[in-house]
Amino acid sequence: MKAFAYVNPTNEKDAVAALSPQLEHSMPIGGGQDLLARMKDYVTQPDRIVNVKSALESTVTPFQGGLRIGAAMKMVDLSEHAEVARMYPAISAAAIEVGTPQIRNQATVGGNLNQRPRCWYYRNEEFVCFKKGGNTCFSPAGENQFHAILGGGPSFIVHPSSLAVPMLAYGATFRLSGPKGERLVPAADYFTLPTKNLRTENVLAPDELLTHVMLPAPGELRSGHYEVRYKTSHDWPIAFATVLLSMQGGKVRTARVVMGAVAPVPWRARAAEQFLAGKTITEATAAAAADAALRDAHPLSQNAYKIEVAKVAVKRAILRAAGMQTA
Amino acid sequence: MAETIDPLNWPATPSVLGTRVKRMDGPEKVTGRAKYTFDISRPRMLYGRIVRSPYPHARVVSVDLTAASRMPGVKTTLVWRDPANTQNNLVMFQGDEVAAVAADTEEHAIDAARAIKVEYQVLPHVTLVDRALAGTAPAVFTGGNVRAAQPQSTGDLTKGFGAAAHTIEETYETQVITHTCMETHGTVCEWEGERLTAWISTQGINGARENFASALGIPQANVRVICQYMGGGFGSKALSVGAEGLICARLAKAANAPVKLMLDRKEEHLATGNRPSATARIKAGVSAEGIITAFDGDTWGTGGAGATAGFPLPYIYQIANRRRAHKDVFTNTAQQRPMRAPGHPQGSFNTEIMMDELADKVKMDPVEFRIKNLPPEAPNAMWRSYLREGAAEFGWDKRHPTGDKTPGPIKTGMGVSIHTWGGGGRGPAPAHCEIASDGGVVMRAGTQDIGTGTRTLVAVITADALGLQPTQVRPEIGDTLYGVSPASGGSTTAASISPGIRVAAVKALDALKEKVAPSLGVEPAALVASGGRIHVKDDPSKGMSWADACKRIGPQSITSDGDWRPGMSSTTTSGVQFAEVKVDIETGIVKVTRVLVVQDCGLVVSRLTAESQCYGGVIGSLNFALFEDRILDRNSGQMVNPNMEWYLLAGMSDIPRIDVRLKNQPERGVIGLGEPPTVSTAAAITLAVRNAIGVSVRSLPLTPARILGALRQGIA
Amino acid sequence: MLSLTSPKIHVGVHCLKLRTKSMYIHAVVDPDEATFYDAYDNSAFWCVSTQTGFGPDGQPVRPDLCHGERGCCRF
Repeated sequence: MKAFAYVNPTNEKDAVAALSPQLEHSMPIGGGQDLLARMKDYVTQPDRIVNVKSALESTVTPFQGGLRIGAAMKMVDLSEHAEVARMYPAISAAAIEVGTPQIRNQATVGGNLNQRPRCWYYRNEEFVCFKKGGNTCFSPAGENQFHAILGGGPSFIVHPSSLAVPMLAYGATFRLSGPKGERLVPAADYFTLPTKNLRTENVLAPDELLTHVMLPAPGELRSGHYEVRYKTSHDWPIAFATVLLSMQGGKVRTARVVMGAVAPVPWRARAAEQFLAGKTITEATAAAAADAALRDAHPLSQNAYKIEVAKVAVKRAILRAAGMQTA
Repeated sequence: MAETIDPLNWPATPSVLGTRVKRMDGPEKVTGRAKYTFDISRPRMLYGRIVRSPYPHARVVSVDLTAASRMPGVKTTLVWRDPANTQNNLVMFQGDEVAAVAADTEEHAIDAARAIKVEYQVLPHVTLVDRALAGTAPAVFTGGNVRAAQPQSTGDLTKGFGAAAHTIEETYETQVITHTCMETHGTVCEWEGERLTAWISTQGINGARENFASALGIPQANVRVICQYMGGGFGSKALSVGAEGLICARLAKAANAPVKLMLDRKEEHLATGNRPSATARIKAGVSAEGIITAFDGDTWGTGGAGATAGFPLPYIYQIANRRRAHKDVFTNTAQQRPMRAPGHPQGSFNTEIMMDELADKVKMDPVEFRIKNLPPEAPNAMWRSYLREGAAEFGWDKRHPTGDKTPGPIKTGMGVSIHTWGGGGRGPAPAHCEIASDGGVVMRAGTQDIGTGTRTLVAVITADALGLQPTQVRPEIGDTLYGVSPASGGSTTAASISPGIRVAAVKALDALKEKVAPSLGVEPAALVASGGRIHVKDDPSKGMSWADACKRIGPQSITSDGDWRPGMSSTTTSGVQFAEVKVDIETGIVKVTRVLVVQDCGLVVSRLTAESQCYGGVIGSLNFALFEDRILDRNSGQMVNPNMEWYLLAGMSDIPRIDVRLKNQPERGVIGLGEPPTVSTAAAITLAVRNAIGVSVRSLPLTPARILGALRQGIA
Repeated sequence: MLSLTSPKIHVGVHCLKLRTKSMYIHAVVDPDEATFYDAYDNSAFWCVSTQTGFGPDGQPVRPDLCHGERGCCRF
């Protein structure tokens, strides 16, 4: 691992001041579950790391009828938080599935949202891909069984954050703090496709910190979250989905369908949302919505199965949101 | 109370043998007191690090050590692949060794290794088996990328197929997996003049000693090898000391300081061996009565750069008319090393999937179909009995025909498969016993515990012979100072060392009886040891405690030696495994819910550790079936998952309930069982999946992509 | 496992530096093995000088390659 300086600020202002506008020069560290591994593997080699655990909030507080979550909150605390579970059950469901107990005891909310792709080309030093300043994505002509089926490249990573998906679904806003002060960015604008931003996966500048996640009042929502994992223990989902339904009588008034692990960003399936509006939830309408969600999917050479898996995730999340039993 | 015709042989009525004795070193291991090679620390110790080729095939043009030599803490550097040696400046696989460095800290060593500048001329590589076979890959290997073995033919194929009522023609395939030892390969080497002490994570301390000595050109008498505990080898640590071991010794010599060189996870995946792939294109015929009449197989596999990849096929079942032609495909990947039952898991899978496809052709139950085609029943061929016993225990009668017809996406299924393995060992495998006047018992042997529980086995045998509890015995193993003993491989250790331990213990007891008999006024032969006492046979009251007996020994301890002798061990085990799975046919996710193991290993010596071998074997084979896969980028030939994130292994929640029915065959003596239980689980799981979803999956691992693909094809 | 199918390495025929697992393990051959399957070859070999599966000349090490034709062979 390259030698680095360590800064341990105790407030947000000092933490921001310790960052640098240069990419991967001075980097914030929360639980270190991603950054330290990248440093050990020589994928990311910062000159300075800035501990944000003492500088950022790690609590959940009421906020405009919703909740505000400090970015330094540990995943274990988020997954066990009663108010979060009551108001935003899909976030709790996603949080409890992250990594292992050991990882959840270290990892933070901010770190989960900002972690880098798990793509094996990105993670192996031998492959200098778009994400590392190279001029290619190795996956389309290579080993792509876990890569993106939506988004169209040119980098075919899938976004690694489990929290990003329900947070986008609930309409979260992220508070960013930088040298010029704070800015509020809706989750929908925070995550960026490679066509807009090839090196990173969001709009966070190298000298900015994600400090809080603000969740609006959920209203009368029914939620379903479903993850398909190859292994039960400690694995990344092949595909997953958060579905939020606002019901009127027995019918869907509005729906929110967001998929994870299928694209370089958490992927909102507007076609599925539109399809569901006005429908009664049955196995058939859920399956048709899932088909709509994946209508634009384009598989690479080895990941066509992910389209089927993602459809199942969407379908089962819809059924769960409607209170129905799923496998 | 021991009672045998030959007192040195196994007792007819054992006291400790075959009982459930807790692993003696369990507390040491869970508290961290057990010192693995990884834990060894020596005064002035340096850390070694190897520079490896990132390319699967390249010529080393230059190695520049200048910058590295000036790095902080660097004590010595070494060129392993000399660019000037035009005969030997090629790297043949990603991870092949090029140079090395030793420095005062692990971090400095890693930094310095990265500062060694290696210039490569990248050469065309072959890593894709299909292209090598098709002849469209670059010619890399002298004599060709493909080597055909001598075709094998028995009986009359034409006649065999003529007698068939049905034939099938399919291709079956298993993947390359790596050993993934929890403790990576590694060594600590310390020289005193021309004498070397090596702590090495090895399956054979005496073998390592000979390898160090021969490679370094020093007498074997100058080498001491120590391995008290090791974190898994599975065959990959049963061979040489590896380039990493030799490099460690050379670095230590050059630096005149002890050097520790442990590989990291990536190196472990890339450079320390693997299980070869195995593909079988089979045409087989079955008669209306369910007898397999013909088997015609073309097979191939890759064991890496110039190594073999054979496997037994057909496996166990009797087919009178058969032909088989095998090809080894050489690729620019690390050479294979033996991996837990080398060849057998591949042969088992490629045979057993075919078996259920044939059984379905004749509409026979898989158990009955197997029984029809098995060799005759014998102590070393017990499958018929075990199939019937296992089927009853497992609830096989509740198995539905191929394809779970119940509604919903979750389908359940059951599968069965069988296996065989040798596991017979012999001597020389000497053991040395000491009984001191303080009552202490030492049993010493130059063997090693590769994680199977050998220490416990030593204590169990000794305690049984002396009428003591295993905790009263101190086993001393894992050091070449304790004598010569075979390497641990082929499941042979128990069968090799157990007789000598028994003999040494019985002889020591005889010597103790000589000391005790006069004070009891009886002949030594009238005495027995049981329940912690030495007493007159059939009269426990006429005797004394073990402690009192040993007081009569005097200051010089009783010593005795034993060695392997015929009749106390045997070879060849039989096993049968049943698996039950749940498959989500919408997602392709397989969950194994139950596995039943019916397994023999001759005389059961240490029941708990024997069962533990079965658990480990099943879990290893489940990983082979569902998860493990060495994935190489098809273009660059580099491994994309040299870690434990994308090289998948079962976690606790992926592991099913495992029931073990250990069959005792005391009359056969000791047979090892490290390997047998890992052979057939993968096939049983795959057949359970087939039974659940109604279509075969013919290649491993059983990824969601493969399951969904098979379902799609099956429906089409 | 030393089995019926294990490689046979002979002094005087094969290089003295050629090694394989069965040289270090005293297995017992079961003649019945031949009724369970036909012979197959999957043994791993190494050169005792290099401690790898490649000889000092960089070529793979196997009985069919290590019987005198290579300059590095020793008898």
